[in-house]
Amino acid sequence: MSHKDILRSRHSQREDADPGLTQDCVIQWMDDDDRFPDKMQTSDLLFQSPIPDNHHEHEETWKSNAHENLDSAVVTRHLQPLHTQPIVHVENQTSCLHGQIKRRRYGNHRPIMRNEEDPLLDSTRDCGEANVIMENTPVVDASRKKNDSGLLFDLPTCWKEHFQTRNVDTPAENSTNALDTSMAHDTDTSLSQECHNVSSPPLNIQHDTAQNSCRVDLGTIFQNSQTLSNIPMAVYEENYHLQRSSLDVLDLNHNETATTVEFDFINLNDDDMAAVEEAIRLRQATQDLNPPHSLTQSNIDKENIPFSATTETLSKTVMGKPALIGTPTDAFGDFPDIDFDMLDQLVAKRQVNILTLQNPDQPNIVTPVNASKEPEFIQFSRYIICSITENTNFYEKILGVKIWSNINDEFNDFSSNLIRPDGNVHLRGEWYHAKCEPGDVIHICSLSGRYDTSPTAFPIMLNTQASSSLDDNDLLLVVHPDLLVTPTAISETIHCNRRAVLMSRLGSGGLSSTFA
Amino acid sequence: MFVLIAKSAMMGTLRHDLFERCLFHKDFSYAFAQTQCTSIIKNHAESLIALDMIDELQIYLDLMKTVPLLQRFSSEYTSFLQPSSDGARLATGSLIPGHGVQSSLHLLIDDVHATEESSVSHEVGLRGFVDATVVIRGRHKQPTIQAKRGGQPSSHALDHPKILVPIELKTGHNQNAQHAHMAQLALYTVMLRARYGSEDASRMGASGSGVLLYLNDQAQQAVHISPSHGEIKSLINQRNVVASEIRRSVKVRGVDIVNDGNRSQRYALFEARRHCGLCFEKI
Repeated sequence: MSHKDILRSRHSQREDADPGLTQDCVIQWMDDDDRFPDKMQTSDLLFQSPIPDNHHEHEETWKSNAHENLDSAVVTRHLQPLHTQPIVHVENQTSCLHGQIKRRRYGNHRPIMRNEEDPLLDSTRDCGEANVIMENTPVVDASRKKNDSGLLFDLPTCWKEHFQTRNVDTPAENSTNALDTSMAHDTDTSLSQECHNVSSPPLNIQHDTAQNSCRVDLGTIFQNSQTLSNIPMAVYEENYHLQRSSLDVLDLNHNETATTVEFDFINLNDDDMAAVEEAIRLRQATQDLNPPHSLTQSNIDKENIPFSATTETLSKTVMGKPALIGTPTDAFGDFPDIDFDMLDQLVAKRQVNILTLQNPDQPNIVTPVNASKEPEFIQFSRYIICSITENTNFYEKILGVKIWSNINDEFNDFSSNLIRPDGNVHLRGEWYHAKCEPGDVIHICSLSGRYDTSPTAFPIMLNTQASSSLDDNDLLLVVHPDLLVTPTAISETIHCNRRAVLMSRLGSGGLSSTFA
Repeated sequence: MFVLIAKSAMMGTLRHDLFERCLFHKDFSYAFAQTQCTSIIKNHAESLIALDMIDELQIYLDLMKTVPLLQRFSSEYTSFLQPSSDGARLATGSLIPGHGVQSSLHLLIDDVHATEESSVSHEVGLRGFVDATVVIRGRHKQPTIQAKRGGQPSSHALDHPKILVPIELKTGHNQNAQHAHMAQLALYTVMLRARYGSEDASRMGASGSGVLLYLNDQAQQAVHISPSHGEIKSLINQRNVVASEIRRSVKVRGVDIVNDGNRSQRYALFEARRHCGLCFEKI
């Protein structure tokens, strides 16, 4: 056997001995994730379902053609019989260049109603502008573009204003004429009709009183893409609040509908409106007894949450869940189950994204120190990298990491950036140049054991140059810790970086020496 | 292990073995060294023959030249040789100067923990063999990283029961401390601290510093190395680089042409070509 053969056999053996580090992960998404994709569309608007009439199923479609790059949204509401709950079917309609339309169902959502108690969620303040909308003037002015929070509530508001106006003027046709809304009869949601709406005028509310369907073009409201980029979060957040706060209102609403024959949401009479108002008043009284803000404080680590209004609201939303569940919101006990867990997960996921993306330049991060602790054995935590972002302002690299487990290696694809990290590790100084990719396993070690490396310490700051005594830690980042490297190989890289790799691949048994 | 290297390196290996055996048995006498030299030469017989070093007697004599230096080492830095009349030196040991601005150390070896200790640290992803791990008593002020930075040793340093100090033995001709050797020793200290814990008042722990011992047939020199946090971080960072490169090199290539996007990021060759001329990796 020649030397080349020996080298070749050794080469192949080492390839076989690769301890599974190059194994590719496989994407396996659950169906539920399909229903709640990462990017929310405008079609996630949820509306108060009107009172159901007979067993006919009617549809109401809100059409959004906000931007040519954005997907049009179609919200279809099916009016269910009285004994069943009205469910809003939210669909996303993706139109491509060829005119083909894909429909994607996001799931069944509970009808909602606006919360008029919380000023942040108060949408009635935009009533005047809603009137402006209904008068078919240019919809979005500059001030409203800036107002992210009030933007999305205008839709139900204007709709409600629309109801009230009709209620005052009584005949439906009259009200629509007064609102100067283009009338159209669409009996179905055929593709041609939708395509027609795409090219319709900016404000396009189409009514079909016979079918109880309404079609609103949202494109005039979301005119620029900058505004649209703010939509999904606010929409979801708002709807989340509305959903939770309006359950009892809806109860009363349905109770009222039981006595109302042939109730039409367009033809709301005074009794219905009074019932709604009464319900809102009751709701406000309930919230006065149980102020929602007192329920929002919980075990969320405030240090880990950047001070962002959106995030604050989000945390309130998430944390408000148990208390609201505790309240007897469902008087009849027959509401369909809302996937609140999924909503929580989505909200939390987006919250982490905000953590990573919007506030990467949080300068004052101090690693917690167990100063009183005597130096002991090494402490380390094993993580897997989910995402990597770089912040050039502080010359740092931010790793979104997750506690390592066997399941992570098998099922998750960390390149998709959809795995929710447990926290962030900030790499500064020389650590910035650490070569790591999503999916890599890392160890965060405290050599003396004085520093906390567990997830409770997030965000962990690693630096090599101690600017103060607080930064003079002994935290180490070890990439690919399962690959054991000899100190000899590391020290030899001082002279030649290639040599360590060559030795590991081809060995240094001396057979490569000329003396052999 | 069957190793074929240069003649000078072969002699260094023999000296290395002799030192370890004497230190392990705590016996630096001539009689013990003679038996060990014979045994060592027999163990390396294949390599010696391959290197055309067939004069066994000459090798034996060359190897025995090291014994006075070993005895000097034991008398200066250890307490388990025959009792010395110099009581003061026994109390404090001999001073080992630190490299550069690093602190010096009064080293007095009380015991030998292990030689050629196979040390594996899964926490920091290191493995290797520490030439010698010796035990010093806590009555000697052990300058640690914290003590150095704080300006004064910790108050309970005198009460330390046992402190493990790694010794890296270099048997080459060059007696000057090299950065590569210091880096290697610094990583050994990290591994020992990961394995035995940092030095503590209540139990045995590993020191944050080590001793770099240069020993050939003519002279010996000891240097005290106490790496700082920043140096350890840089070395671990370098370890991450090596690990990433090794992992990348292990990936199967050549089967399918895939542009992995990182091909252009290979290291440039070392600028001083003379180092490449001295490289053992002739492939």
